[in-house]
Amino acid sequence: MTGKDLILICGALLVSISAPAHHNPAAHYLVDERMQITGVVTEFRAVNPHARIYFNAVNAEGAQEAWMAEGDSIINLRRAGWTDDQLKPGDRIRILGRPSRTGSNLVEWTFITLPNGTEVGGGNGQQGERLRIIEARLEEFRQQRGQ
Amino acid sequence: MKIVVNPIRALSIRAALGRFHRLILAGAAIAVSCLGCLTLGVRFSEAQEVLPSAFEGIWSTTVTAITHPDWTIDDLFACNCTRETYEYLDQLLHDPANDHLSAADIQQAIRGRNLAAIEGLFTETAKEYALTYDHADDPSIQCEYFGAFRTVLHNDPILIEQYEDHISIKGEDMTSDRIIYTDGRSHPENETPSPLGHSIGWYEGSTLVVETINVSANIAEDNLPIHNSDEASSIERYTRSEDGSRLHMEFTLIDPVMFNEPLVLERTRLLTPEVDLLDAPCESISGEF
Repeated sequence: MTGKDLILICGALLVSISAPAHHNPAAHYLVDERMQITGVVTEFRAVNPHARIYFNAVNAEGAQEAWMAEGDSIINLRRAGWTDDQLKPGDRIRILGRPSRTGSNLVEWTFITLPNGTEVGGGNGQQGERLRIIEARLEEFRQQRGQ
Repeated sequence: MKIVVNPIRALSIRAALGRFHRLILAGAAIAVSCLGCLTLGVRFSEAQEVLPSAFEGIWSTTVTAITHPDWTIDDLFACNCTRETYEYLDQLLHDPANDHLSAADIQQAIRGRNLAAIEGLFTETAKEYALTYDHADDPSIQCEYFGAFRTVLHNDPILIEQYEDHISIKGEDMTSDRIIYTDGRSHPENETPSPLGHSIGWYEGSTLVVETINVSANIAEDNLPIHNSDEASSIERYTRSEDGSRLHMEFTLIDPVMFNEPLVLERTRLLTPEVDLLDAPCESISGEF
């Protein structure tokens, strides 16, 4: 079970907002589109400007393809608690992210789901996690203001 | 079209402008300072005597310290925003009529308003450039360090160290370390523009003022987006809150090639002594795989 699903969807996580870590994602990705893909990690590279995950995924024809996913800078990932061996060869992951603008086997991840169901963020600018925190603080602020 | 202004032409223009250019800078600094330092409901000190180490420390933005408990709700939506954008944010957050808006709605609205405010100041050259610029041409993707303005406007933590005759501002990975001379020297004359340009600083009450000139054409902020020509100069005004925990920055970009008026952006950082500046190798990105 794997493969790629290109999904054009709307919603809080899909809004092109805020400031990525270093570069505008439009450099290499379709910022208003999202895809999901499942694969097996072959290498995790703890580098700047963006950490990278190399992985293999099976396409719709059943053939294995090599892919690369980009996330936040390793500096910001470390600050968020990631380690340089956060992902290991053989780890099976599901990625939600932005597809390549050139059709390459590239994805800019927003969220990664591990085999045990744990969702880790770590995407460019960690916007997904940040938005959840801001949403919670906003709700708290509105409740306090209403009291 | 690239913003590659002929250095010879730029230098001759700068030489011709001479004192007039300085007057523009001084006028812009005075004008923007009149906007006040009462920002986001937090009081910033203008009248106190500055302490020798008033600005020292590691200062973070919400991008790298989002969970810090001292951020206000306004801070969490802040960006490199114009004053008009912050006023709009204030309405969105504090008027209960807007309570149907999600955080994502507000972020998107703020971003749109900020972009409109910035693009409203674009010259024809800037408009033309924006239409043809490709984000894939960003040189930092190939691990080239940021220039002065992008370093100032970037999200990563900064370490400020104050010395008798200069101030050092260090950042992380793609940003460039800056030296700001505070020994009373003037800018060098007829110097070729460089990515970091030349910065001098002085104190006005408890505000640190930094003037930077001779910056080469570059990306000043890629997400807004802002690009500068090599005729650009800037004024940064840093003010610390009365309790010392917050650093408010007002950044004025004066660039007659790209902006019809000085562009003024504001942002607040928190003092985060628990944060360390980190480093890691850079590997360029091709966009292909």
